[in-house]
Amino acid sequence: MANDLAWTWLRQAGADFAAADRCQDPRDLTMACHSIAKHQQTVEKSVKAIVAALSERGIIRVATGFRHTVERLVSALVHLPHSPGNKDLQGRIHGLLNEHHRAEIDALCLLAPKRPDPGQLARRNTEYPYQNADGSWRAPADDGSFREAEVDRFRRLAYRIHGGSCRIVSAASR
Amino acid sequence: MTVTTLNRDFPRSEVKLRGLVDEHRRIKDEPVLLALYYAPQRDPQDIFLFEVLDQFGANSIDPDRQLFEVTYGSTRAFPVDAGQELHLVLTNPAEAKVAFEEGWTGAAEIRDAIDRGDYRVVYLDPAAPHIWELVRGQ
Repeated sequence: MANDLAWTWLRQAGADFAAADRCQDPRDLTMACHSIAKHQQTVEKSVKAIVAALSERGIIRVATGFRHTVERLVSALVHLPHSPGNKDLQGRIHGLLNEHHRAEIDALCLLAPKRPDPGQLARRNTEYPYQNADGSWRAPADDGSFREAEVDRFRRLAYRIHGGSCRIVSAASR
Repeated sequence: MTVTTLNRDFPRSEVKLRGLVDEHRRIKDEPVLLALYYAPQRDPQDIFLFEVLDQFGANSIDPDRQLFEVTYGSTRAFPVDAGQELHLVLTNPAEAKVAFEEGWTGAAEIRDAIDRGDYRVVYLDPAAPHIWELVRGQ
């Protein structure tokens, strides 16, 4: 099947999206961190699906496989040569990964756990304990770590990126 | 002894690359600080473009000490010869500093091309001359 790997990434991204929705409960915000983490996974796998589809068509090749962060892969896609206004594959990618969506992806990726720089506090993230401004520790599942509005915000992003990626991979399969 | 480049493309893609870099300069959230067309000793048929972008990869530094390289095949917007590819090497200022100071493989390759004179500065942000000084090692 054409773009078998790309569709496999998309299936997993879709499953992550469904899992995020199962975690979302406005009455129980202790689950918000899990929901946002799954939305981050949805976006990451959707972007990797596009890269896989373009790789299969010989349009793009990222030399070192899947070790790169989603921000770097997005940048590689955005720098793909394209003709402005043209609705070819590259034009669709530029449309999906527009400036607003890129800013939202950056904001979402900031919530992935990351080792703090020396002397810095552990930053708020969706998985590991992190620190308040006074240095005290907090769990991502603690009440008040994440708001319902943030879950909704990143759900919208994941929905759009996954849907757009499905259309791009479909177009690349033709 | 100066080693002459084996690259068969350099410098004939310069005009085409200027168009691509102009396109990249329209990406406002990752402003181009430096764009360098260069000719390394590998893949002699290919085109190599190095760009330092503010905010690339959220200004992070690759933990594996490798510059990010992506290769593009021929597209309608940037056609290349049969068997030829465009290599785009991307970094951010913080990573560039570490890469050139530590001599990462990709950075050493760029510095080597500069030392041989096999390069063209396609674009340099007037506010970022320090980036070019860092890359060329002066």
